[in-house]
Amino acid sequence: MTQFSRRHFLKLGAGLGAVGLMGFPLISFGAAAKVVVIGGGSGGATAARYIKHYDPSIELTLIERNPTYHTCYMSNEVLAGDRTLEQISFGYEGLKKAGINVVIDEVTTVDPAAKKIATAKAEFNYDKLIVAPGTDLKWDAIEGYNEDAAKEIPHAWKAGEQTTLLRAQLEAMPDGGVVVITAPANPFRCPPGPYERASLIAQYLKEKKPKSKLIILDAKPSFAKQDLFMQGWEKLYGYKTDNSLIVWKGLEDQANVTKVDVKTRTVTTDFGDTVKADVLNIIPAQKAGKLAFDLGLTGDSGWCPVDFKTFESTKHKDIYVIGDACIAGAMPKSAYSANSQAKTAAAAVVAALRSIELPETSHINTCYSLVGREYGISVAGVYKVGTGEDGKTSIIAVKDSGGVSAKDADDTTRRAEAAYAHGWYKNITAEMFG
Amino acid sequence: MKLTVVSSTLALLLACQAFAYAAEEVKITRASLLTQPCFACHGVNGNSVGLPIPNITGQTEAQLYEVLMALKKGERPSTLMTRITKGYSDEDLKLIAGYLATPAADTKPAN
Repeated sequence: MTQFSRRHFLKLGAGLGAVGLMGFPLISFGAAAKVVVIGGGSGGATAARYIKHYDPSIELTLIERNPTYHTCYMSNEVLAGDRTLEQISFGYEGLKKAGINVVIDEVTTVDPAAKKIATAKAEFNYDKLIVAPGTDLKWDAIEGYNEDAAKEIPHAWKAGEQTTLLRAQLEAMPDGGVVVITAPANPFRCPPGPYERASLIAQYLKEKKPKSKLIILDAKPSFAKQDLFMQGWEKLYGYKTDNSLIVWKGLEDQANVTKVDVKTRTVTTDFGDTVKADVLNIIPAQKAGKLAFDLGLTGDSGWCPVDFKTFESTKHKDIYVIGDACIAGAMPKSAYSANSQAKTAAAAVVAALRSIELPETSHINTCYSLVGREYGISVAGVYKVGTGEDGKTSIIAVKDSGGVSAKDADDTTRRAEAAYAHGWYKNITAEMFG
Repeated sequence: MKLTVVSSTLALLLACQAFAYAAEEVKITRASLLTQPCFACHGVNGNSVGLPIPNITGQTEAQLYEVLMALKKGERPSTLMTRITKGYSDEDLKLIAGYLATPAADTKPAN
């Protein structure tokens, strides 16, 4: 259909000008609308799928810089030795089969006024652009921690090589070693992530290196699903005993790490305390991905303000920002949120191109965390556009819904939630990558 | 002569457009927007490949609505679905049940 229309459009091009002169609306009847999605992660891949779903006639291009995507979710199982890196790796064949033009290339320039994108090898025009740039790490946040330092002291907050590096260091560490994880202030990608990581590394230590310890140094006074994590740690890792595998120190313990000495793997907190690690995992504070800054899509916070109904940028018309990079009110920065936002943005883009009204939207977030191999906990939420506590329009959690798993649930429930975590992973990656 | 060319051009263009719209009718509804977020857990179109998360297709609207309402009221045991279903009005749950029960291919995502 697209080919047919385009042939006719080209052939009839000479006549179009005349139609315009005669006062008829000059609409490119035969030409398909062009949509480009930049970023092939949880948000971008899902958005591309759903644009094709809603309107197969759209000429759709997905630009992603890496041929293989490693999900950050379930990468903590790789660190624990329960999953291989291969098992969190996905290619783009499924999206190609769905009729999406997948371009593996680096975006070099975007011209929002001319609606043009250039990559290293090609140029693209768009009517609507969706960007899902994810997050970048704030390299300046902790003194001494930069891209070079990350080659020795992994952040592993983007899965792939960094995951492999941290896993190798854990394997090489002798029994009796000290693992230190530093966790950032909010907001950041995957709020329960550092604590699931601590849990699953503790599981590995318990089984293979039981004399070791894991210390979390946190820039926050509290963290996501804290009560549930700590209950699990008590049950599985001796938390609150003298022999606890896990030690958590928060802001009240002056545990905000401000400096790293790469050579000695020693961190310094803002109170001046030092902690020396055998394996050190720095999870720095974060901001929207570089592309968002290059395009001028970010606000003062370092994240991207959007229209809460459509995810269209408030900075640039016809550019939509989804996933971790956008400011989505009460929704946490998670794969599930990105997936949900992608579906709304896809509908909003198609509705705008077709000049039809977008119905009221609705979102879900669900984040499972594994405290142990058979011990899962979750947080869930349903969201809508509404008036926030400050009286401003935002994406708000629907009252009296959502929340975390029951505090004192039995072992069967925890086992079930661990199984659901794995089921969720299969289904969300199937929806994205097919 | 010029006029003839223009009018035949127009006719062809309009014919193309009519054909395109008939074949590619877009259905963005409140029901589709409500239901699609469910698929991140329950699989493509609700067809779960990630056991033990259940399929949520292949049932009638009435059956699905009954299950969703029982979850919302906490009458049907669940680890998580009561927390989720409480986020929707009864009318919303009816729309979701209806969308999931619709067998037509045009309600389905591309993959």
